[in-house]
Amino acid sequence: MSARRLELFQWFGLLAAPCAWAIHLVVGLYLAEAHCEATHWDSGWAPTQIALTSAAALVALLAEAAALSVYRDLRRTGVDAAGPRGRQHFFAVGGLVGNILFFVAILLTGITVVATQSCREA
Amino acid sequence: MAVAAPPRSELERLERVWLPRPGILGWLTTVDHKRIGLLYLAATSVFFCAGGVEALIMRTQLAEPNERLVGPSTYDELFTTHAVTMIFLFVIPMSTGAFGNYLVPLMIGARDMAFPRLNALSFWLFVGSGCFIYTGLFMGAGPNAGWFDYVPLALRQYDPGPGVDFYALGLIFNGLSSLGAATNFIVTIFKLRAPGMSLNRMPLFCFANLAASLALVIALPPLTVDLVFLELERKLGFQFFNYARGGLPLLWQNLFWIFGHPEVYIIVLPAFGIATSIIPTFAQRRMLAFPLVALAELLVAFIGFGVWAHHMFATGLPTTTLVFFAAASMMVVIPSTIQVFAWTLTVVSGRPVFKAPLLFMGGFIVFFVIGGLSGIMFTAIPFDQAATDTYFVVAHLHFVIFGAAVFPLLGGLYYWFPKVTGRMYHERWAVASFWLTAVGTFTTFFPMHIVGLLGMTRRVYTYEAGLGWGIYNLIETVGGFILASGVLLIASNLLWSLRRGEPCGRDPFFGGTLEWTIPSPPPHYNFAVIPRVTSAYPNWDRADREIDERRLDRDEPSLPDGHRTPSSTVRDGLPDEVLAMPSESPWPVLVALCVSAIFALLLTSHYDAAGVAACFAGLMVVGWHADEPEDATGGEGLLSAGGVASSRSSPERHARANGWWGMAIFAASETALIGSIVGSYFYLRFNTSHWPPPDTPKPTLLAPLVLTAVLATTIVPFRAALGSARRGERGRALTLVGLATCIQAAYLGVQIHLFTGDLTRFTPQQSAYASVYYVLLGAAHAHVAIGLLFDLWLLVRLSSRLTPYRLIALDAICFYWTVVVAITVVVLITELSPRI
Repeated sequence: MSARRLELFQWFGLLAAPCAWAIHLVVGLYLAEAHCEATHWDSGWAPTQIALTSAAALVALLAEAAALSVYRDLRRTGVDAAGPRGRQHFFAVGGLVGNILFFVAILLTGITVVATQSCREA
Repeated sequence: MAVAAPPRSELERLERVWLPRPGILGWLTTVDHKRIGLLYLAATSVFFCAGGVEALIMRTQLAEPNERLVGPSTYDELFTTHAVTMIFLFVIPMSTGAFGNYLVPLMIGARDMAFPRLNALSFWLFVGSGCFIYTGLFMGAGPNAGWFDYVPLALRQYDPGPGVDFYALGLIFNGLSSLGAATNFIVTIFKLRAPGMSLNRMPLFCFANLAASLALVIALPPLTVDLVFLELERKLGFQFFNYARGGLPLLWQNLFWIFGHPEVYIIVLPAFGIATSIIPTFAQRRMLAFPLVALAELLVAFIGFGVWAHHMFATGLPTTTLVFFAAASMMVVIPSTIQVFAWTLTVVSGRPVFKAPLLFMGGFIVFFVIGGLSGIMFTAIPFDQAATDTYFVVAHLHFVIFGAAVFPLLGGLYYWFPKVTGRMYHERWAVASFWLTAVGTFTTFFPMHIVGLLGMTRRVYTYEAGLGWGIYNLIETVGGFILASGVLLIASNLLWSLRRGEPCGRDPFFGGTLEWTIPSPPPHYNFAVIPRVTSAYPNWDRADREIDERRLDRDEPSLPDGHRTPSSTVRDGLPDEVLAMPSESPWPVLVALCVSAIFALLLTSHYDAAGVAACFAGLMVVGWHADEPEDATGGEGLLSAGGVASSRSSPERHARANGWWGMAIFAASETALIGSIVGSYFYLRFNTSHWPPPDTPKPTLLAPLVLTAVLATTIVPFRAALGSARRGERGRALTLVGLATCIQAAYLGVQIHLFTGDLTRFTPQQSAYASVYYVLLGAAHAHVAIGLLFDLWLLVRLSSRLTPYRLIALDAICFYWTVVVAITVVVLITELSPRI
């Protein structure tokens, strides 16, 4: 993999899934507010949540793939290695674990929200 | 007048350059990170004593049923001030202000923080805010509505005294200090790392401080917005929280906890950093799963922003809404668990030496697990609803805050005491103090779980006999005094050792990070030779350290001829340039005095006088910036003097300057501020049937659209000015900045005209819509006004000559305007949304 692509994949593999999770949380939350509070938006609410969850989960999967490809490319690089390669390997290891966490969180939250759809007070 | 003899060696020259001003004036004007760290330590220790005394009074009051040591109103003030003190005036400022300030530059091989005068200002603002909050208590009008100060209780009709105003203004004041400190840490960690210290070689302590600082920058603005809303409603009759006028009391809780939960992680993250420093030293091995622990520290800070509503499970929110937060709350457990396993396995797989600092880490892990397990229980919505506002919550939060955040601080005091003083503490007393503190902590806080499950609610000043709570409360009170005696023993040990402790040398524990490579106490310049770093534990790299020692033997210190420190590139720690650092300055303390006056005058509703004090503060800031640093030089200065690896071919060479990074972080914080107001706007909108209300005109479309387009065009001359300045065309740059300034000033003039026109048609007191509308526009216009002040300063500077410092300023201000334009577009969309 070229140095430029490695750099790009490392940052995408590290940051894309957290961003997707954050957007899923904030947008999903406001959609829930719009659904349950005074505006009572019903039509198209569930498909929108499904689309949002799918898009966010896809981004997390792509981030995992990016982190994995960086890790495989640099698997012989030590944790303390000098220069960009050491840092890219370091963050790829972090991305590999973190992206799975965000993927599972996005998916489980999305499924539960769509399955309950309840505006009743908890 | 005696003439100083010329220096006999390069090292002596270096020492003279960095020699601080003696006496009390030296401490008042100091910008040395070590001295500021010690000042923080002293100030936070005073506040810790105050908070501790408040806690002991409360525990004595609750020791038996129907106790009458204090009345209910005094008790309200005590528990509120205790919490505010421990969170805002002790734990955070001690962990970041004292430990962070003293240690971060030492761990990354720097000679000071990135912005030394801002560092001093942050400290003096912190002292001012602490005194401000305590003034209320001493006047018998302390904060009294709980540390989360819920409305409507905190509104004027239910709490008419000045206690809530002391709280709200005091925390805004305190937030300024925290924001300055956080910005400084981020830029220092990004830019001042020793050559070779790429991000993967950065100490975990610095990762933890970086994570906490990033979280602070984003978490503080929602709190500031919330507090401003509260003060506007209390003092000027705005309607953010009044249900009858379209407001929502839950808006307060949402904004507060968007800050409040990340705040918990901001409190514990530096403690994690201390643990990741102490454990490898006493286990004599690297931290296990180093990359995962670093990532976990960042993840905890990040995920912490997605869990705020789990503090609101009992407020009647819809199930669909709560699901998001229950999931995120469970998720945050995972990075915490990664760290617990890493700490434990590092000890188990190493050769542990159980000295006092490591014992405190053992206590920390146990208490963190207890607090964490009770925390997971709250993610189950039914359990949370049953246990909310009981002593079970008090038990949980104290295990997290005292057990998980304060225990590492106490262990850290022992661990770095030899480094700071050059003397060893008394080990046997230290071990005894650990056991007293640990037993005291467990005895005080564990029975609170039981009494909470038995139904005792928090914040009650007394209780009836026969409820079955008495014995547990008595045990807790006894535990409280045991805990206090443990803390007193720690203080006595350290004070005794300060004079009588054995001299310890530079590295009594064989620690792995850079602070152990230099003498104890550290010299004023920190590192005579700027170290070259090849791993995350550079003190264990003997070959590298021998190179440094040989250079010192040859009397070849780095950069001996000026008050200078090297800077490096953000990602890979390549040498970038050599920066001139400021010396002692009176401006930070003077600015802090003016800011204190502003807040005192706001409290007493003397708004005109507050404006005058703000003008004085502005003049002080101008005076501050009149002293321009020497021009930065390229990293080659360091290369010749430091022998570090050359990086001239690196694409990162001459990366963004410290000033640009400072502005970027400030802009991020301001974006979060506007984001909080926009979020509040839509939160209110979704919960209101008529938006805007029928008696309020809808916003006009044309004028805001045209004005925003005009403002956006000013980016073009600014960018062109930047290009011209880079080519050395000062006159052209000056003209272009002048042109942009004129357009921006015209924009602001017209906007103010429209704003005052709106005020004649509907007032902010009319409805929640009107309140949030005016605050939104006011905040956006204020950012333009601040930008114009930057422009004026820049024009004055550019009119004489162009220097690298001024070029950096132009770059930073250009970036600021880009962010302001983006903010204005978001505000425009929000403002016009009722027409869409």
